[in-house]
This record gives sequence, C-alpha cells and structure tokens, in this order.
Amino acid sequence: MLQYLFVILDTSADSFCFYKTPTKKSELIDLQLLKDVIFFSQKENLTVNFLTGSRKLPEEYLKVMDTINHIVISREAISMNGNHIQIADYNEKTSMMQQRNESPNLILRVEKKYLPNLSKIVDSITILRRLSIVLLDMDTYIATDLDEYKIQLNKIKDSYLVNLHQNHEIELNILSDRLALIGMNNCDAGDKHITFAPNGKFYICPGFYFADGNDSVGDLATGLNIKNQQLYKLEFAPICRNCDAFQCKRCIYLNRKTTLEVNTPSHEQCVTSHLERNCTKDLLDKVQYLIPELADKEIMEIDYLDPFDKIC
Amino acid sequence: MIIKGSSKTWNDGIAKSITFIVTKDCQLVCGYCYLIGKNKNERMSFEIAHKAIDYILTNKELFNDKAVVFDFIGGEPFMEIDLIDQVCDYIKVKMFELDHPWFNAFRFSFSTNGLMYNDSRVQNYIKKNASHLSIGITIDGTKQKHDLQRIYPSGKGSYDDVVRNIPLWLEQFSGSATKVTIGSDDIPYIKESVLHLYSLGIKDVNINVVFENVWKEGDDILFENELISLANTILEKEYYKDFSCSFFSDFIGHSLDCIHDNQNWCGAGKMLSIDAAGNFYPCTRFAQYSLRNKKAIIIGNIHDGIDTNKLRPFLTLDRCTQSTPECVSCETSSGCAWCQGENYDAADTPTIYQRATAICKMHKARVRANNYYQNRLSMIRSKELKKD
Repeated sequence: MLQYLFVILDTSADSFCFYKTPTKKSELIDLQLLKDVIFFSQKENLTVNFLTGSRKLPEEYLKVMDTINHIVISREAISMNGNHIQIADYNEKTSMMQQRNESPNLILRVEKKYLPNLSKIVDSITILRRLSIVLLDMDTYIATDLDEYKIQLNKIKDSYLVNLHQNHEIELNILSDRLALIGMNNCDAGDKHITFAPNGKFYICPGFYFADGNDSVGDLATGLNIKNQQLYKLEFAPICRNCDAFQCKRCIYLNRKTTLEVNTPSHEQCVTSHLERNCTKDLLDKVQYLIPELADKEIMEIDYLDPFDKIC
Repeated sequence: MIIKGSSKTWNDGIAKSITFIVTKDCQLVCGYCYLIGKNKNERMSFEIAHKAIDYILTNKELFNDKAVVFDFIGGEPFMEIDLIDQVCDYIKVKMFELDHPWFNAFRFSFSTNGLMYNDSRVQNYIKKNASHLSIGITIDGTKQKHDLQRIYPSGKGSYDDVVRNIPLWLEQFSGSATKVTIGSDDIPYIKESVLHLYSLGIKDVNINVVFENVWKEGDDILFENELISLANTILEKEYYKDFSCSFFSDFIGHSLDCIHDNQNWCGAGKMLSIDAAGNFYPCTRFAQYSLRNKKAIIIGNIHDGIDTNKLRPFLTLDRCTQSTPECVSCETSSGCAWCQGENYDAADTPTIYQRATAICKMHKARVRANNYYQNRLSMIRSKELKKD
C-alpha cells in the first residue's frame, strides 16, 4: 500500500539516492500543480517528501508546502516548518560543510573514487543523529571495490564501537540499522512510495523520472496506473524474499538498470548488502552484552555473499 | 546410412544449448512464424562466429555444463551451409586444442524447413559430422495443412519440395521427430495431419499450439473435438503402440504447488544465442527480429562477454512468481507451457515476470481430450494385460 509521495519541486532537484540527475535547466513545478498534488496526497493519506534543488523557492511555494505535513530533502535547509533531511555529495570539502550544518539527518552520497576514504569520512561526521551512506556507482563495483568496502566497513565498525563506549551513538544505515530491524526495510518504490514530477506525471521513483521521462505511471487526471505492481513487492522478488540483509536498499531503480527487472538486484547490490550484514553481525557479537535490547538478537552465520548463489 | 536419432533427448538437462543465428533470411514466409524481422542482410560472418566460439570455449567457469549442443538456426540455417561447415570445423579444432571437456560431449543441431536437405553441400556436411548431428525437418502434416501456412513469398505451398526429402532424412536419422505448430486456422487439420506424418514414417510428432494471442471464440471446443477424433483413431488403429503425439501425455492436466512444482517451464537464460552482430541473447526469442512490441534483451556480446547481472532474472524465475493467481490455483496446470520470449513481448511492462495466458482455454481443451485418451488407453491396456 502506498504511504509516501516524493514531490520533485524543481527539474534540477538534487539526487538523494543512487540515481544521477542530468544537468537540467531549473524549472519549478507549476504552483497549481503543487496544490493539486498536495490535495491528492491529503485524499490518499500520503506522507509527502519534497525534493528541491539549489534554486530558492518563492514564498508562495513555501506557503503551499506548509499546508501539509512534510519532509524536505535538499542540500540546503530551507526555512519552513517541515523536517529536513540534508543531502551531500562527498568531496574533500564536505566535512567542512558539515561543520556549519545543523541538520541531524544526513544522506551522504559517496563516489567510488572515495571508497578508500569511507571510514575516515564517517569518522569525521560526529554531530549527527542519523547518517545514511549512498554508494554511488555501485553498479560498476568490481571485486577489488567490494574487498575495499569490506575493509572500510570493518574500520567503521571499530570506530562505531569506540563511540558507543563513549555513549555517542548515531544511526548509521550501513551498520546499525540491521541491529534494529526484524524484517526487510527496503526502498519499496512502486509499492510503498511513488514520485510526482514537475511535468505532472507519476513515476516509480525520481530515478525513473530523471532517466526517462517517458517511463511514467499515470498523472493526476487519470490516476496512478502501475502495471505489474506486484513485482515491486518483496514476495515477488525471488532473490530477496528469503534474504535477511534487512537493511539492503533493494533499489528498484538500480535493479531495473542493472538486471532489467525491477524485482531483481544485481550481484553488486547483494554483495555490498551482505558485507554490511556480516559486519553488523560482528558488531552485534561485541555489543550484545552492553545493550539489553539486543540480548536475544541473532544474526546467523552464512556462507554466501550473494543469495543468488544459494538459489541457483 | 543410419545416423543418429532425434536430439531432443540427447543429454537433456545437462547440455548447454548455444545457438548461432546464422541468417535472418528464409525461402518461406510462414503464416505463423514469430520472426517478424527476417531479412537478407543480417548474415553471420565467420569472424563473428570465431570470436563467439573463442569466448565460449575459453570461459569454462561460465560454461561448465557437461555437454553442449551447438544449434544453428535462421531464418533457414542451411542457406548458410558453407559458413556452418567452416564454423563446425573450427569448433572441433578449438575444442581439441584446448583439451575441452566438450570434445567428447557435443552435438550440432538443426531445425530446418527441409527444402535444401538434398543439396550436395548439406549432404556432404551431414556425412562429415554424422556422429555428432541431429536434424529436425518441419513438416506440418497433409499438403493442405502444410501449404496453409508454410508458403513461398509467391504464395505457393512448400509441401511438395519438403516431402520429397523426408525419405532420405528418415533413412539418415531414423526415429526422428518433427515439430508441428498449430494456429487457429489449422485446427480442423490436426487429426489428418498427425496421421499423415505417421504414414510418412515419422513416429514422434511434437505438436503445440502457438503461444501468441491468435485464438478465436470457440477454438477450444473445435480443438477438443479434433483431438478426441484423433485419439479415437490412434486407439482404434493401435497407433499408440509405435507412434506418439505430444498432445497426449500422462503428465498433463494435474494441479501443481508452488513448493515442489515451481520450476520455470522455459530454458531461456540457461541457453545462449548469438546473432550476426555478435550480440548475446538469453534465447533467440529475445533478439529483435523475434519481438513485436519490446526491445531486444541483449545480455552481452563477443567483445565484452556476458553481463551476468542480466541473466539473474532468468535464472531465478520460477513458475508461481510469474503466474497469475488463476494459473497458480489452476487444477489442470501441469503441461501448460509458456514461451518466455512471448511472455516478455506480450507483457504490460518490459518484464519476463508476466506470464501470457492466451493459450489458457486451449490447454484446458487439450487436458479434456487427453483425459479421454488416457482413460480409454488405460482400459485397452488392462484388457490387453488380461488377454496376455
């Protein structure tokens, strides 16, 4: 069942996930369209996430946005009532940028070339409540990149342990999320959330809009029309439905891009998620005695990194 | 000269099927042909085939099956017999040089329209590769039925040109089967066609209805009646003792569950097809010349190799995930086939996970006729046993 709606306010809205945004001339969504999609969300009981770009939003837009409970996902915090999740693409200057940022919830996108610095990057960010790492170019990872990721995860885990002992705990999607989860907590695009673009059309997620504007799944006038919607559900994903890498993004956009099927993850997505899962298992073994809530938690020992190998 | 029998059961299930689409040209323009993009231009060169073979034979970790069938299709493959001869020679030499496990476990396979079967170059090729060869000739039955679909561009039927080659084919490939395809217009001719093929000496008739949505209201009833009539003749003339027709089988028409009977019907993805441009496909049906509505699914090429991520959906595809709730709970689902390529082509989205159900009523009609046949056959056999 749909629960969330991402509304892209600007054709040059920044990416907060694995997809890349082509350089587009900034054009804001039509104000009436914004009002209409908010009306739609109110009727459908959807929680709204607004995606913005670098362009400052006019006051009348901010007022309209404030007619519904919402979250804003953007690089810069914008003055309004909604909660803010900040996006940053890591570069050498990012850590400086963090110092002046006050958002407690950061999505940090990290290119492959920075992978050997990942643990240092995470170490440098200590002022947050939640950090979500997005590994860009994951679909191009080769075996040595995956090995490097494993090394970095172990370093991150060690630092995390030190911080934990100092009572400084942050949520880290690639490490601590799996501690709390008891079932799959994935992307769920097309199933639990959908995206509305400035052209007035719905898309499975922003990645589908930016990759191919013709790949829409309806509009406000005709309504949503998600064909084969069952394929976005976990039980229709043969590789995923018995998997216990619960924190895996299971990115629908990357699935479509790499395997041509929305329900099938790539080898690289499976392996990165299992490296994270296994690292969390190591962490659990070390912190279980410290945290009563984790006393009965168990992450099983497994002998594969890609569930595909278990199935085929 | 007796050569080998049908390839259909040769190393079934353990042999890798590798298909060279050597040409997209054909002498015929069959009414039911799913190849919508046939043309005279896309002919495979030896260089492309050579590179494909090198890739396949040197990547043993990807191609680790115990045996291999190198399949040559078109269009009409024998239109490229010189290329095929050269390619087969190269395969044999390369396997020998590499001391490849397939050197003692390979077969060359053809499905042909039979028009060039007596061509001297084809015959020389057959003699040269006799111990590793299987050839199927497609003949649809009586002249009337065959010429209804299998015609030249002029509209002239091809029956007479094919049937004259059948005796030589059966002499060289004793026990060979033929493959018959049934469309809506063919239903009234099923019985006489199967019996005609028996009379030509073809003992196994593999026959199926087309998967495409060509069926008209009432076709299922006509089909059922035609099959019951065929069943009566097979039983009364005791053809069941020496001949077979794949419409009748004791494994069809049962319910299936999603735990023990969940395997995919189709082998797409476990096989590999290569076209004239050197592109790889999970099956020929995913090449552009086979698709009406969708883009080709290319899983790699001879230069970059196979993108194994693109194979993952094929290799993890199971029956229940792709089937409608009605198919999953169907009480006669065993033996209800599908073609992954047609599923993809007919799907509402670009997916192989949506099963096409155009043959639903036809399958149920087949099941009813098969039940009738099996019940009568069982009675006949028990009487025969009592006599003995």
